[in-house]
Amino acid sequence: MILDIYKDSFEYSAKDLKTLLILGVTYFLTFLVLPLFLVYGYSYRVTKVSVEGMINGNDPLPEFDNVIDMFVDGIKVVITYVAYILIPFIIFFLFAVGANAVGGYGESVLMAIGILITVVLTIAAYIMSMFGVANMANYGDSFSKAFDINEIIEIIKSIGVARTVGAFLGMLIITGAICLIVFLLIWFVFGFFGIITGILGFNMAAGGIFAAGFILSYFVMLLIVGPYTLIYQSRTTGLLYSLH
Amino acid sequence: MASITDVVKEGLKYPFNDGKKVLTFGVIFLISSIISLFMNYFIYDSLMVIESRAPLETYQALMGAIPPSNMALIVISWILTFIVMIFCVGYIYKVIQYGIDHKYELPGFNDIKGLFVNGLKMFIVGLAYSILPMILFFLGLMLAINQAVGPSVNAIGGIILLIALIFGIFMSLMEVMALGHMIAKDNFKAAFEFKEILALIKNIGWGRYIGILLFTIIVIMVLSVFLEFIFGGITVLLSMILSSAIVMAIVSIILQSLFLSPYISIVIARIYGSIYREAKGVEAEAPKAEFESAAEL
Repeated sequence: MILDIYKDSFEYSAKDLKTLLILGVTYFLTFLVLPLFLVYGYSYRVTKVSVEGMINGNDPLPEFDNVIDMFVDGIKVVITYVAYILIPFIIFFLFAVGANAVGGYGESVLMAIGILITVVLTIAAYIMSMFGVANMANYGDSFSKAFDINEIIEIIKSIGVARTVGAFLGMLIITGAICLIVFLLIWFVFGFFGIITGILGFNMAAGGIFAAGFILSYFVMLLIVGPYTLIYQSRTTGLLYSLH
Repeated sequence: MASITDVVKEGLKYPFNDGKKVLTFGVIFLISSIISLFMNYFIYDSLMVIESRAPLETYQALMGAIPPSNMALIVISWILTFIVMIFCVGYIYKVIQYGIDHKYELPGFNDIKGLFVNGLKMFIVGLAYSILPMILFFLGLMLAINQAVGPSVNAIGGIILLIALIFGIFMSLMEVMALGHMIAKDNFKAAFEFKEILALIKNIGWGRYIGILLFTIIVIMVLSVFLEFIFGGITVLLSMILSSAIVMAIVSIILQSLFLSPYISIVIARIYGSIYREAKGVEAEAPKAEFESAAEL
């Protein structure tokens, strides 16, 4: 089931290169602050389609239109993420302050426990925030549903806690692997030609090829791989949510 | 139950229904900002005069050093700005009214006398709601920083400062609903019917009410940062091409007051109106729910 979800998301994200490029350009403009929310608004739309859709169903990619709605949805999504991730952050901070006050061996022990708890809580907060967004999408954009912790925990339980955590970890590994493979591929090609050119004695040309490789990998990461992994994650979350 | 953030979406789209009126509203803003630019110039000029005559020992000498024509111009431009701003606030009144009635179009500018009277009403309500927290705030500030009264009184001053802050936030929350209440009833006294206003807020729910206002603030902040960034870019580019500082000042004022200020104030007013409508709408449904639960019993 989980593997089907991965496969479906894999194909779904690659459906439309134009959308990927539009999203990529929006990514590129995130230094203007507002486009960041557009990106998250789009990912919210993907989640919304996926929550109502089915695995290996023929869902279309959502349109990149109605910018104002997308912007407001994006702000909702970002607030949800920030609110959930604040909890482990605050707990880590409290542990740090407490450990500082204790001192001696107790400091190390307390800090170790604190870091352990923080790591567990961070994973929990990540999953909760992703499911919070999916829950919001499921209940007609109702913002308070993103923070309905009891209901989200119920949903995670009905899917299976171990299964959910495993699926999310798998998703993270897959997105990391996609980034790494694309990066290595580009560098391998350019590095190969660059080294050969260097061996042949054209040092300047070798530098140029390395620079071109760097620029190309940056733009490929930004314009295609970034949006691809974003859509991938949203789709996987939505489908996983729809299993409950 | 639909999301309350739809109110924000609707509000952000609303000014696009009639761009011409937004621009007309922008022209009013433009007039007021140009007048205040002149005021700033005269203040700057007076400061230069004072600086050239330094050192001035007494307050009388300081005031005497300002040229009388400057003083008169500052006062006149201040009064003019105030009057123009009253018109702006009067238009906001109309926008809130249309929001409560859920009208699609934007209000017009025909009724100039009405705009002025409504603007004065809004201004007085705003003043009335902010004056008590202000007095408390200054009292607390004076007690907190005055070293002559001793540390215990300073601590009390700090507590009063905190209370003033909380009270101010509470009052500004009340004010949003009070404006809606006044406009919906078309009665100035309705702005001070605290019981009804509190009941209206309770209808929405305090958490939801504060949440929607906070959400609005975040949305408006992100939007204005973005627009300011773009306008700033245009301004800097133009002033670099023409290499002149006055062009920069004027272009930035025109862009700001022609597009940014009217758009954002209309959006906020529309959202206020919609929030009031939500509060009223929930109230209409509430008795029915009660009736049903009574029937079950």
